[in-house]
Amino acid sequence: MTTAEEAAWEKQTYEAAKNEGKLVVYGFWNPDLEKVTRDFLAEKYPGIELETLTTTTATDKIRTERQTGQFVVDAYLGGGTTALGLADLGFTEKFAPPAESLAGSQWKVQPSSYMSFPSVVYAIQGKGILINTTLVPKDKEPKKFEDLLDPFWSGKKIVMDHPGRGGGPGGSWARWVSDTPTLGRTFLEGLKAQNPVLDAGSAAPDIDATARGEYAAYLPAYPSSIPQVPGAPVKFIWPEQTGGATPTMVAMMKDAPHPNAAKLYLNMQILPEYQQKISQVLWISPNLLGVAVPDPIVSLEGRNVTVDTEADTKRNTNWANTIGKEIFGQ
Amino acid sequence: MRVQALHKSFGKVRAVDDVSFDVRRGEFLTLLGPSGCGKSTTLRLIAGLERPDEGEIEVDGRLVTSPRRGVFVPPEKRGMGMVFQSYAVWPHMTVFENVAFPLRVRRKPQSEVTSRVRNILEIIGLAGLADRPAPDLSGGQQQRVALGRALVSDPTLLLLDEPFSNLDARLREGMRVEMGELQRRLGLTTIFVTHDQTEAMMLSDRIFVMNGGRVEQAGTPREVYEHPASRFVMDFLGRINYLRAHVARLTNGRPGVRLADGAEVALVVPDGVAEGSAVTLAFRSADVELSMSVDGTGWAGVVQTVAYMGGREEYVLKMAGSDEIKAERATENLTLGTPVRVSVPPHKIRVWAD
Amino acid sequence: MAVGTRRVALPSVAVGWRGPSGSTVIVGLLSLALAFLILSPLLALLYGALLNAAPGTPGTLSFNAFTEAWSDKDAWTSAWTSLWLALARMVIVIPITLFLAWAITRTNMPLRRVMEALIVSHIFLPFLPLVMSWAVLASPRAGLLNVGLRSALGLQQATGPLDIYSYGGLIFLSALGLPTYLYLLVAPAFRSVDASLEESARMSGASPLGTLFRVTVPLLAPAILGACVLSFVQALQSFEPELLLGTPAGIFVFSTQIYRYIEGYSTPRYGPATALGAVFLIVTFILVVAQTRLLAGRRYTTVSGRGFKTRPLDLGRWRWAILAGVLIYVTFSTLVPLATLALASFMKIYGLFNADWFTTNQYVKLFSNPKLMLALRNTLFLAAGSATLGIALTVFTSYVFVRTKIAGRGVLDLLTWLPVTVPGIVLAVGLIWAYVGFVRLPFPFYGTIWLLIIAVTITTLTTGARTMNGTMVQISPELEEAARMHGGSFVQTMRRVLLPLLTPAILSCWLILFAFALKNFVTISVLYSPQSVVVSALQFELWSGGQPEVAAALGTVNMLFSIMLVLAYTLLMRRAST
Repeated sequence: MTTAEEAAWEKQTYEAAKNEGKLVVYGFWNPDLEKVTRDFLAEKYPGIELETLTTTTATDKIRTERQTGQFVVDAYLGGGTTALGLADLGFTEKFAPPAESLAGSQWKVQPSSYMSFPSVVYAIQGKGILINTTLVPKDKEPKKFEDLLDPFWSGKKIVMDHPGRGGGPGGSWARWVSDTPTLGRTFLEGLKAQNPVLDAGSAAPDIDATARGEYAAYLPAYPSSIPQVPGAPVKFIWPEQTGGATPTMVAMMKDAPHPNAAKLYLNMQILPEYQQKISQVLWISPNLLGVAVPDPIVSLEGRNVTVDTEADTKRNTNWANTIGKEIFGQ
Repeated sequence: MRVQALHKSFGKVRAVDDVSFDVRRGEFLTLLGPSGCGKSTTLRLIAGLERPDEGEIEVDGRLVTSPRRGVFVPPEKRGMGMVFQSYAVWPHMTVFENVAFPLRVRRKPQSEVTSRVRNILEIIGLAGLADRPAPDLSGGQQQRVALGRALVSDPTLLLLDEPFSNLDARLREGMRVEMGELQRRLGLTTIFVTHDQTEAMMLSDRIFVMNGGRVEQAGTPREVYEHPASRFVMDFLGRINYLRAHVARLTNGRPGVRLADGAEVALVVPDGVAEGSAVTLAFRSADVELSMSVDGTGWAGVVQTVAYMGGREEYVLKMAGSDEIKAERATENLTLGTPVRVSVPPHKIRVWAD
Repeated sequence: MAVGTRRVALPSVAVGWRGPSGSTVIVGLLSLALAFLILSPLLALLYGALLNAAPGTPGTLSFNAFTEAWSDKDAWTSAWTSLWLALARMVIVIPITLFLAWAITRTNMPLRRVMEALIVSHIFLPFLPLVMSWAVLASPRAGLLNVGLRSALGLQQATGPLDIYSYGGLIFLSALGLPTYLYLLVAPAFRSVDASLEESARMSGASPLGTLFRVTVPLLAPAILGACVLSFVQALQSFEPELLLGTPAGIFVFSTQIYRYIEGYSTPRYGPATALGAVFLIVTFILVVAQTRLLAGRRYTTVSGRGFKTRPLDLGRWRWAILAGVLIYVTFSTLVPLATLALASFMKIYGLFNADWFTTNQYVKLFSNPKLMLALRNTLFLAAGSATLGIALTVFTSYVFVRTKIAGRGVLDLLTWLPVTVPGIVLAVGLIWAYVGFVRLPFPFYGTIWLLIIAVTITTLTTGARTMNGTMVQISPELEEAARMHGGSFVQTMRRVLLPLLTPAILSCWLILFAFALKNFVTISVLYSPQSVVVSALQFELWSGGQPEVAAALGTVNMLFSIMLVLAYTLLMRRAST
């Protein structure tokens, strides 16, 4: 698709979306991401009001609404597990944004077709380790996951996402287990011996507590989890072997009350300007390659990350849940 | 006012059991009895604060309660006034507003409210306290407020539910006198509930003595006091002595009873009590006469305790057999152990078959 | 002194209700509405557990969900943890409550008014900011108190001595929070004890302490027993601290286990969640029924028209020691977390205190948050709406229960106990079942603020009814009878006598229910939508979305608002007591 074609589609869709006047998105997990989106929308497509809901139970909410005959939500934003769940219920609709096929665009994974279910992958969250730099001296910084099994760490507290936190952590767990012989169950059993904290609640407070020095390391962390305060005593480390990567996506709802706004929004998510914006502000790794990033750590280019596939998504959470229970008893 | 065949039960307890009476205009009628006798419930039935199971109440020829005919006039439509045991003076209102309430809810014009409340406050002696908040009043003043509130709208009937029981002794006496005067002056038809026989005697035109939900006796204070219809009534109205005796034909051939020590008393024995059967003689302590002459007539006894009561003395006398009696006399300076002769005028003695 | 004892059931106004007349019909209809309000989510929940499917989806009736829940070891563990934790909390919380109530209502301890205001202020504080500040203060390694204690005591270890992420931590937080709520329910009973009863004990040779345990405490036995049951039930259904502090420590209780079934798996497991909730409900309900039976013969102290004063116990020099004890309590329950949070809201990273990192930017971020205004508006509407509805309903139930002889009034009162037996999360699921699974309303209801009002109102009924019953019993029924006798109709009597007398109690109770609504998160979290977002939900969104600093700013604003409520409450109480 040429830039002109894309522009024509955009103009036409924007006109229709303006008449709809509103866009409702569920699943925003980050207030900053919401702010970026809102500001971007206001600047590029004025006249479309954004309404959001942050929830871990988007599937239930949407199902409940639909059962009561309320078609409120236009798009879902979040991880693959929920998007898949919504697709299974027949609530989402496939849409390939024109920006995907713009000439010259190179993607880490193909946005609308990497998954077979309706989704547009706009970012890839690669997973590593977040450490507290006050508690971990330079020479003790882990270079790979196994380094956390070093006796140095037995006195330090590690906080880990419980696989029950969702597909992202679940994917990591699955990968730690499946990456034999380097990691495998031995790694998790070794970690267990270090007596880590397994937290099934929200991840943000743990990242925070790591910055405070309550924990020496948090895993799995994304580059975007780093508190962006100069001088903050934390550091993100890409381990030598992969912690996996989670595709982050948007999906359009079937019978969306504002379908044009939804299409415009899906398209917007993968526009180069937006991709750049979220990487600059939030340190989210963009799916579009060649985007200027604020720090090399944000970029996925040249990194050996395996992006979770649909098959991974399907088995990750439950698999990891069983192993979590087997090894950690939680 | 007429009350007919009232019945009221709370669960299995028959609180009011077939009570009927009439009240004449201007009459002061007292329901007297121990707690739980049904007097308060009867009053609340008249007030319309309770509904009877059976029976009818008529006021001024107007039927106000009759479950049988499906008539029940709510209390606010009965036009009565009532003084409660706790006074029930509303703590969130001033004296004036408390008294004015009956007029306000009847939507009387402000000028009438003011003049009538002022008038009533004058009568009950609280003219200077109109703007006081009710909780700032003493017990006696609160009672006056309660009375004023009951009187302000010219009630057809004034109901008094133990109004003096929360006052101290001196205040109580004063309020009694005042209440009596006021009632006579205003010619109010009044029903008064109390457990205090002195109050009842002092104020009433007629007394209804109640027990176990029934009226035991009705009559003027004098009739009830002097001719109690039952042992209960007599017991309730004064300090009573009991002596055990047997019905016997006396040595002089007249009918009478014989005490444990063989003393004889000529008495009219109740009908149907056969010779030889056990009876109890009952008489008031105040009617006991004492004499110190050892050989005189009367029953022999020994002074067991002496209590000085200011101008009077109360003696407990040990009689032959094991009975004890109390005697109240003006000071006779008897000492412990003094043998005395006891006599009671025969017409003051009641005989109850055991 | 016009204090007498009176059995609850004895006074009655037969006159309000004339046979099968209009008023009886109204009472009947209102009772049915109330029963529907409370029972529909619970019955729907039970039925839903039997269906073992998501609300609104087809399922077949079976006991599978119960079997699933009870063959899960986690469910058993959580049940056991809940039980012993609740017991431990009760054992610690009750003496603290009694101490506070005694010190403030029965002694001449200095600064009683101020201390009372500080104690009461705690119930107005929202959970999340409190937990957030305690996480900063007493987390085992970096906790400020721990760092301070370690250096003060010269301890070499890297952790402790305190750990808020533990059973001890949870009990500690309850000890700081629950007594303030129980205080509100127990203090009136303490105040109503006739001082001469205590004085006669002193005259008979009992020491002040002996008097306390031989006379005061036995006199208050019914109130204390009630507080015990309530504290046990409250501890059983406690949720937020367990979620936020227990989960990282691997501690799961009934309520968080239910939450885990719903939120912790990729597909919510409504079956076992509802089954567990149903069991929880039945257990607590039995407890409550047992308690009301036990207290059925309870005597209340009635204060009638005349003045009533208690003479405070002269503590002598001990009053400063007692004050110190109370002061330590309020410092830790209210002042320390408040100060920590306020300070943290001016830092660039939450919980890292560093002069260089001072910023007011968190407030800029907060006030530029597009959801803030909507959340504030919704919160005020929700809190005012549910407090008003809660008061209206409980004034009604209390009137029927305390003042009339209508058959079944005991059942009505028992109904008001039900909400406290239901954890908020279970209630929310029940409401979804009721209004999504079974009742199809012709207008949008799910996700609206109205559903939130209904949900929160239900949660306020227990506290509301307890307060109203207590107040209604203390107002002599003769005050109303006097009005009826002197020409006042039923409506006039209500308007001119009963309601004015109840007003101080209604206002203070309204404020408490308002505070409860303000604090409520767990029930709301499952039910809200973009249009019905409220402050507590926004706070959680910010906190879990990686902006704890902004959440702290919002928490500070929230707490300041709560303090204003406390001031209003104390002023009201002061006015009511004079």
